[in-house]
Amino acid sequence: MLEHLKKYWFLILIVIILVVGTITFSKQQIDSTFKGKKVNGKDIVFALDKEYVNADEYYEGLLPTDGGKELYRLFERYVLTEIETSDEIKKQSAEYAKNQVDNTSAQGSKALEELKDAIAASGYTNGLKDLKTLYENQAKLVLIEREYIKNNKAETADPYMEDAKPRIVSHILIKMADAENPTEAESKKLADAQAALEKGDAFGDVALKFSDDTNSATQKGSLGYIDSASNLEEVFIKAASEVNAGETTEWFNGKNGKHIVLVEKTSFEDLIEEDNFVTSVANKYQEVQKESVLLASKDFEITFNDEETEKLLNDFIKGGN
Amino acid sequence: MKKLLVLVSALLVLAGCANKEASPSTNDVLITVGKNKITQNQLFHTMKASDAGSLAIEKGQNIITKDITDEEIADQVAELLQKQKDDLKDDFLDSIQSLSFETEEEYVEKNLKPYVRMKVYLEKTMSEDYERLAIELMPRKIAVLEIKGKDKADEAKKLLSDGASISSIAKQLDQDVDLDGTETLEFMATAQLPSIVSSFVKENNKPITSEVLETTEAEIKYYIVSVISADVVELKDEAIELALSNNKVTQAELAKIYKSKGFKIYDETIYKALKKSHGTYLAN
Repeated sequence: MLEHLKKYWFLILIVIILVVGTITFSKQQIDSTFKGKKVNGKDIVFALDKEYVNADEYYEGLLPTDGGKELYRLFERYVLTEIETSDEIKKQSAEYAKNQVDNTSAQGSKALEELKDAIAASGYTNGLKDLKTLYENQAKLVLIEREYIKNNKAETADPYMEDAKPRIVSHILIKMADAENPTEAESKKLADAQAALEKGDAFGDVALKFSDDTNSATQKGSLGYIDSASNLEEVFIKAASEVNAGETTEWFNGKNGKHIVLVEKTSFEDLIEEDNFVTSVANKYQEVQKESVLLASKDFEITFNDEETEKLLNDFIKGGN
Repeated sequence: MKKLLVLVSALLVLAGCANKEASPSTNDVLITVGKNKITQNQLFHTMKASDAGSLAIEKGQNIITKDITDEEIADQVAELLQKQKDDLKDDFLDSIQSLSFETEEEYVEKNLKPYVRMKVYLEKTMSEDYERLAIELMPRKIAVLEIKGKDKADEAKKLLSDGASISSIAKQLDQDVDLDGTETLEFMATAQLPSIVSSFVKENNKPITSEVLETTEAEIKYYIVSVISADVVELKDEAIELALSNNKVTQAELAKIYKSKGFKIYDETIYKALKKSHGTYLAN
């Protein structure tokens, strides 16, 4: 025995470490999380004061407050899933999902858990595996919302365009520490940019050459879609909303220096092709999303288990709570 | 060696089995959309995720207060309902409908009665457990007068030496200050008072009025503090009333109640949500 111990001491040590480690890990896992429980063959959700509330009771308790909303969420998900997915959407969604998982993983396990929770809360129950489907469905939702807005322009897009002044813009920024009192160098750069514009150089070329907004300068100053709700300085939104398509603003002072904005497009025909415009209108008029999904659902066979379920869904679609 | 491997595997399996999502006993298909089926289980899962455990707290409250009868709370419910109607006037019905209650009766049954039941229950438990509560919260009836500047402080000293009360000093100094010498009940364990004031109150368990107290900060501040009552028995009713209106205190008491009654969650989604929002309520 002693000879065996001497001969295999290292192996024995490894086995002891492995067993102790496994026991500790298992005990921690078992102690640190709750355990499932069944009473009379039914899953228990919680216990309090020696009473048990089972999953059937909990389900019935949740239905009046969350049932319609969550049933609609699942219904929307499967209607969107049924709509054919183009190769472009498939490719783009796979890319978005991969990038998001990579970026979130880099932030640690807590961030990853939060992402999984967010996916589950959107009605997708297979965790990260569902992220690509979620992106595909979001893209398809925009497609059907776009059609709905086109067909209901007077009730949706027209008032939105009147209120929010949506437009496609580009800008040039001449960075200044104090736009009220520019330095000599800053003033010269501003004058050079203005001279180029007056000479007739294209706005995009001037932006490329002079703009200090490094993100947009490489895109020839393009900021894309903006409206009154965009996360931009108030002075910027105000200036951009006061000129028509094809016009530029005067130079105006912002927090980072002096800006000039070219408003490129403001027409419905141009804006409706922008996903941000479609999403903004759908956010403002909530019937856009629900009615679009309802219309799209008519292309597929829909069967309800009972009238109660049908009523629950329809009440939510009509009522909006 | 084989036995060891079996032991290790069994432990790992056990650890893995600890996580659990509760499910309804039936899993009917609710809606079929083309090739896809929406089942009860799926709906249950998304509802749980969206509700984040609120229903468990609400149902728990009903269990805790189940012995409080409608008769016991009838007057309080009627009084509260009338107050809300008086406050909201014509907006009352819209207001309860915005909370998803279709009728006044539904609102009373599902909202007002549970609220009043819990209040009555808390009042009872706080009264029964007042000795502990008094030690934890240190209720004291006090009056604190803040004095602005040295000149006013000198004037106050003279008035004090002449035997003036804190309220008459406050009246004579006629200042615009937050601590204006009004009698108030404070829980010294949580009160947001200047430290010199808190220390004086905590050090004196009998009715007493301080001299003019001076802080040692660069900008000297002056206070007169009067401990009107440190008799926690005498202050019981008022202290419980104050405790019931203090969200921090009621939350801590509720946490003790839920935990002591063995509030255990057996569903992973709800457990994770409540661990974040009501961690102190949980017994697991």
